[in-house]
Amino acid sequence: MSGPLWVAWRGQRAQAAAIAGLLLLYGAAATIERLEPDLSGRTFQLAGLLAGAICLIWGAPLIAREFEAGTHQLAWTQSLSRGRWLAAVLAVAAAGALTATAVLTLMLTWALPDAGGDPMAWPYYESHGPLPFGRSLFALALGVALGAVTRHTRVAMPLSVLLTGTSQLAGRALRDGSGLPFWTMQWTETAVYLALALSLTGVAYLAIRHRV
Amino acid sequence: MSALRTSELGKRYRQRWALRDAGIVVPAGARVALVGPNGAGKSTLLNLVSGLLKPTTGRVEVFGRPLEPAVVAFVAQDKPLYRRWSVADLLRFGAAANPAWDRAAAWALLSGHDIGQHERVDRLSGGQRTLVAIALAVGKRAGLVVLDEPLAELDPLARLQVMSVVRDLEATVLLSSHILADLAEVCDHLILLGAGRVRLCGSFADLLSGHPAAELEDLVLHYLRNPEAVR
Repeated sequence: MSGPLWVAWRGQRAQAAAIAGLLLLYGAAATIERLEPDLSGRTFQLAGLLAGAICLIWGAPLIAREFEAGTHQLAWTQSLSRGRWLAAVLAVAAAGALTATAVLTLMLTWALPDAGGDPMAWPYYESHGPLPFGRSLFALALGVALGAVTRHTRVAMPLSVLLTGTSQLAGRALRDGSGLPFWTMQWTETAVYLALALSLTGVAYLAIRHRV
Repeated sequence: MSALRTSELGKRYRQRWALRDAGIVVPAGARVALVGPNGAGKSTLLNLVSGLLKPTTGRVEVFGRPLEPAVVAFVAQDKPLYRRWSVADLLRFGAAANPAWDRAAAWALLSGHDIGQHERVDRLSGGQRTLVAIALAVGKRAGLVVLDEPLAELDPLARLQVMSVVRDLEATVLLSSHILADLAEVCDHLILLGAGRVRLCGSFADLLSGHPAAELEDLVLHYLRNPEAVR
């Protein structure tokens, strides 16, 4: 792995392991659901929590923790610019969030091909198509931006979970009123989440650009 | 060529100037003691020189060129390190983040002080952590090494070890303390800050010649007690 990417990976190993642990729990839930048809659809209902975990465990502490420990002073006085450091850190985190989302999506669709019910009902709709990927990136960027602005994990972590949950509920409300077909709505929503993720990345960069 | 030159350097936080109109010249190879009371602007100056802070006014030149991160190594106050990493991880971090990395020099410093590569940073003593932070600066091969209060909270033996390492650094060194006595033996230049202003800047010999004070300590006290004194 090349220089800055290794630095970013070394700093995020623990987060990756925590998310991997969560995926194992999802796997266990899907297995139990297969054995207990009474629980049909439960695992899909829980799938949306992955975005919350991503902003809580991975996004919010990513920069806030550096400020809290003072290690940003170490990271930002090497030969890399702050922009390159942030790019490497976000690249690793985004790759992790997308991989986790892909693993969960594949796991659920393979393990529970018949579950989920109505495609337009949220447990199915929110675990299929591009939407979960857009949501994961949005949740990550939201956590990162809040961490960079507030500089405190104890503020950024709960706030980012709250806002991620709120965005999910807002998405459901808008969806119910729109009446668009499945794929149009999927791609529209995904595009909105990606645009928000990009803007929040910009916020994070501006927040760290000149600060000690 | 001077290792460090600042002109009209200033930093303002909202209404308050932490540092104002600082003109500093440090010749290459100097060991500079940056002293002054708490709140005099020492950390602000060092953060500006290390590139962590952007100046409100003025400029910083290192070896005749505008400041670039690769030419200055910085050991920040409290020696922040990734505490759950091993020493080897931290040095790999140094290698990954610095193109001119000198692995041998960094390891030589650590093995010379019996710091093993598998030890976790949070299991090291304060003195050992300081040496690891300095090893990162050594590996970076920067011409200017800046240390903010490197001796704070160290026991006397660790202070001696750290100062002997600082003495042997192959670079121009700028280090701060609020206690001049800590630095007088190793350093040959002095910058005195008071209330955000540079009160003295020069070699020990130049500063003492032509002044009635016989000792550096007396000179510093004279300038701190007389805010109007001008050299």
